[in-house]
Amino acid sequence: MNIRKNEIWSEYQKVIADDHYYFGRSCIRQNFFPAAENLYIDILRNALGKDIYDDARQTTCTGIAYHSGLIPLETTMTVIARQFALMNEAGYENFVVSCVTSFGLYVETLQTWKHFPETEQKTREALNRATGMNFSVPKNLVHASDVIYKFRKIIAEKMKFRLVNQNTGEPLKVVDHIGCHYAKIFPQEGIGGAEYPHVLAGLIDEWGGLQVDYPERRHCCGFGFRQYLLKSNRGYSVSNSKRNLIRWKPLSPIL
Amino acid sequence: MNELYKELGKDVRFIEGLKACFNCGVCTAVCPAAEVTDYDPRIIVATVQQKNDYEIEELLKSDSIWRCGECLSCKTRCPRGNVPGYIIQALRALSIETGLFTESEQGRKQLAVKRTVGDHILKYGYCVYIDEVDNDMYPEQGPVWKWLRENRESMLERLGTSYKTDKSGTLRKVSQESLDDLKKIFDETGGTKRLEKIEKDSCSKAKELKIDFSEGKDEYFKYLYNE
Repeated sequence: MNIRKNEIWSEYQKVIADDHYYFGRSCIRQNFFPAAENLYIDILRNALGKDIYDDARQTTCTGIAYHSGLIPLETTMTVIARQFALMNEAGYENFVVSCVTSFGLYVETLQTWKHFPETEQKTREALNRATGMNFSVPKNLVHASDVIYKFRKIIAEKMKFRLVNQNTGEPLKVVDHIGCHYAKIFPQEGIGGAEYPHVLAGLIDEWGGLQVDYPERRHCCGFGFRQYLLKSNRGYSVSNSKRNLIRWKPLSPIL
Repeated sequence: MNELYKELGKDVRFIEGLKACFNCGVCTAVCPAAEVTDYDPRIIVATVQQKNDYEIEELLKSDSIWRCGECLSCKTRCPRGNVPGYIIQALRALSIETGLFTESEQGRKQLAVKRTVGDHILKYGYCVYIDEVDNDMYPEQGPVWKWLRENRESMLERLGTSYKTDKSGTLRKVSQESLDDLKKIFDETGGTKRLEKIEKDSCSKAKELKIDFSEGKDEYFKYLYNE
């Protein structure tokens, strides 16, 4: 069956649990957007009436250091296994990951265990020797934005302001930019896949805005992990980000 | 022979990342690192595919393997299912393992990465923590960030965070029990050994370069971080 290019996203769908989530915090978001995660939890609990558990015992997944070439894969997988063990102890089965890098790494860990089962066994043994903990893998693992996407229609009904110019009635122009590790590594794990991710675009459509396309929509922001972390390498990050901003300017986006 | 290639073959990322490259160059075309530096993932994959230890050793001693930003755009686009980004991960691990990372300017910078995000993991429980992100190190964060940091006690409380408290929530103080768990996991899985190896080999290199080496943000760190 031929399918139009702008409808390819509909081929990529995923199961998103309906309720009872264990929340995995983000190193970056909690520092640079310190109110964002609390707002997210507030929307889930108070606007949508969902149960989401915020565990004081959780830690980083090590993702930023891992993708900087610093941490062995075995260490990262075992830290992630500890997060799963904490989720089990708290009585949850659905893991919601706040960070895109973490989300990619959690999926990668599960895929590694699937394709190389001996690595899961080694991880289980290492975690047990180190902490005495055991774990079951989550029944459902999603990114925080997936949950908002799932409930976008309910949120639309509760919205005070739609993405519409109050004076003209015209939809607001919105550009989106998806973190690379949301779907570039495992396209089947992202709503809409890697080429036409719909997880944010779907919110724009549902909430009354107008998606604005641009040539570098799927291009990396240029974070680059060790490239941004080191001042001497940061030209890499600044160059890539500036290129995206230049591309947005003539499109006159409001958001 | 082919000892280095054999070592790479023990890494599941290398196994998963190298199928059969036919040098089409799509990975390079889509790569944000290739756009702004002389990094070329196509050449790296073509090189390791030859199984020539001399060539692989040259890669392990090169700046090239440290230029990748690990966005993994190459994984999406490769028509043969190769993942240059995974091959890079395996090469970087082997470069540290063999000590060859100190032979390149970019490889040497792993010490600065270790003394920031690496040490933060075991100190704060997170890779990044606001107390460590100052404007001297991150000037592009600008005056708003500077103001937020200077007023973080009151601002973070006002934003409803758990900054430096024992309860759950944003920027909370991770418990000693959780930090101990992380340390034990690092000890058990090679993480501690990797970090110690970076310190030890960097110390030797700093002496060779005649730059003061001690700990934290010493002269060698500043040289690697800034230049």
